[in-house]
Amino acid sequence: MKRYLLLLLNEFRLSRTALIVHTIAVLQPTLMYVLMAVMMVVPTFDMRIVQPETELENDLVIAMEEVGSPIGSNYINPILTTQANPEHKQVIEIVHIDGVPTALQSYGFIDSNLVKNLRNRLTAALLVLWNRELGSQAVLVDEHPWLPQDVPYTVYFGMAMIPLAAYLAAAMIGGYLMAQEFEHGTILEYRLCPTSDSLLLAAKITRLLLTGLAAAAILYITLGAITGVWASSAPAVFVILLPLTLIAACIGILAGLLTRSSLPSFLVGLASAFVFWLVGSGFGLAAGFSPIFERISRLIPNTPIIEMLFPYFYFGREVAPNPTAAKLQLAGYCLVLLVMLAIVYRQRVTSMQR
Amino acid sequence: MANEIAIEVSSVTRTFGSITAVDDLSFKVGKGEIFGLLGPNGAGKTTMINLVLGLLKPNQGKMRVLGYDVASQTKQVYRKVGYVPQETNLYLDLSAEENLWHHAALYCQDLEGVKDRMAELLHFTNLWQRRKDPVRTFSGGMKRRLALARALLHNPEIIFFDEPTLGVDVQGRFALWEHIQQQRKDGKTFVISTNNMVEADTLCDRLLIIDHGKAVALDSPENLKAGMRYDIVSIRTSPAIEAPETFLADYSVQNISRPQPDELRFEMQSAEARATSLIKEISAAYQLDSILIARPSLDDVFLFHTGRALRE
Repeated sequence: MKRYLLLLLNEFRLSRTALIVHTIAVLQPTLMYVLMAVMMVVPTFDMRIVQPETELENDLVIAMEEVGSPIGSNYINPILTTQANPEHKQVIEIVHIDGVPTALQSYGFIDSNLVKNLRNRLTAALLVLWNRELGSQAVLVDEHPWLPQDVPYTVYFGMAMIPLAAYLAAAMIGGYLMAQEFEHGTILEYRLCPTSDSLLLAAKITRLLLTGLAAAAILYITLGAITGVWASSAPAVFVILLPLTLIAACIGILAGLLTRSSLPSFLVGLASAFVFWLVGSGFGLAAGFSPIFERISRLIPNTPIIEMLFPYFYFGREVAPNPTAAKLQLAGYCLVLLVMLAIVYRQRVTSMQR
Repeated sequence: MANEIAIEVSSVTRTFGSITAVDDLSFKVGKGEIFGLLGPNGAGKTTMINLVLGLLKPNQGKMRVLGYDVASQTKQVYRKVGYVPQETNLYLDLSAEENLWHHAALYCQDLEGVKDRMAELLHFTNLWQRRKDPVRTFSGGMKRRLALARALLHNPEIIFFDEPTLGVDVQGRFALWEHIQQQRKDGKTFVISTNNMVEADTLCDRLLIIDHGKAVALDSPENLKAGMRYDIVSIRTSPAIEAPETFLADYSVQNISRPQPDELRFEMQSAEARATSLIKEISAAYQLDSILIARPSLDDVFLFHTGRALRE
């Protein structure tokens, strides 16, 4: 145990040999999240409505204000304006088409989730007006919110980036440090040492797990600070991240062992992290995409991880179609990669060169 | 050679493609010996060390280190040996002390006594004052001394030292030689590879001269030089001696060369004893400006065995 702890301490000391890589790997996802959360995703936004002139148009504005958001906070803040087409703003204008007053929507710098919200709010407002005209016999808008409280999209976006943060730190740092050992000739220290491969790899993997989880923790805290939403169980979040971080650590070390060069190893870590993030439910749950994309997405370890994290951020709502299969899939990935790592480490480091 | 055998190499060959780096080498190293592998760059010295350390697999042959078979008992061998490679592979961003801690975790059987051993070795290599400094700030000699301290940390019985003073200044060189000699007094066995003849001559108890992967001579530096049975004579005359083979025919000289137009260099048996008659004979025909009689160096030994100078 003492040797293991000393090996672990050494692994952390080696951070000083690659400070820039550590900074990028640990902080990049959090910085990216902050920028995207602030610049690209606005939980509540202004809707500019061109100065209403008729009674019907005024009623629409009132109806929209009444509708608000079906699950709590207002997505839309109607603002009356005389400017017909302000740049990069959402606009609703009442126009007359063949003598029929029609609400015309224009969208600017918004994401698809907000488009959906806008459309839904407008539809709801129009239904309210329609209902008012028809009286008690009209169609009633009966809302059945899935969640008891509104959760802005920034929460999903941040939640899906937490696995990215853990993965990126473990894979990128793992690969870079391993390759550096070859480049600097320090691998010879490992080649000649009597300590077992399994103990050495255990120390390396543990260090990467802790680094990956630290990177994830930074993003988790940032996410909470920005959105005010915290997981119902923080320890559960980090336990769920463990298999993915283990997979990342194995992939990173393998890249370092196979390429023996720091730049390609760094790039393997970076590229795999972003591909896994983009394809692995980074912007929306896999089930929300086409069946082919969903099938591909489910092969990526991020998807089952995000589906497991989901209930902790979304009031216990389960989205994983088959949680047991997902857990087995992750366990299988971990096992295969650990075996591969042991074989490649032996081949590249400890066995005699033929 | 000491009675107890530390290393035994039997008919070892190693090829890289069509190149034979080590060709049927056999030798034994005794315990407590400083054994040198002497040869030019590319002679196969480092390959030989890598083979004995189990880093390379031989095409044929057997090696035993302290009784352990290198091929099948590699981990046991690793516990008993230390290695200072040619290119000092230290973590430059870590301090001297941290480099030693790194090594301790990988190599030391007993982690309890490591701190004391570390302090002892840092004092021994005169690095105690700089133990907290990053290795990046160290001179070449300091890095080599730290590498030696690191190799000694787990108290190995045999230390392999590849080109100990390569790139080290004169002062650092003497310090390193002193450290090696002191460790030998404590019972350590050293195998050093070098192409520095002064180092080989000063430091080694026995030398294996390697050329193109083959052993060309194996003995103590004194015996190797004594085995030459001739001295090197260099004379300057005015004018230059013409037809020296004829002029010096009575002295049975060999390997006559003319490094300068007025200088003649040749090998001659018992040159000191025969110097008086030689001087008399030359002075009778030429103005003798200078005469220098030297014992053969290891370079001459190498030249004798391979037909070319070590530095070629």
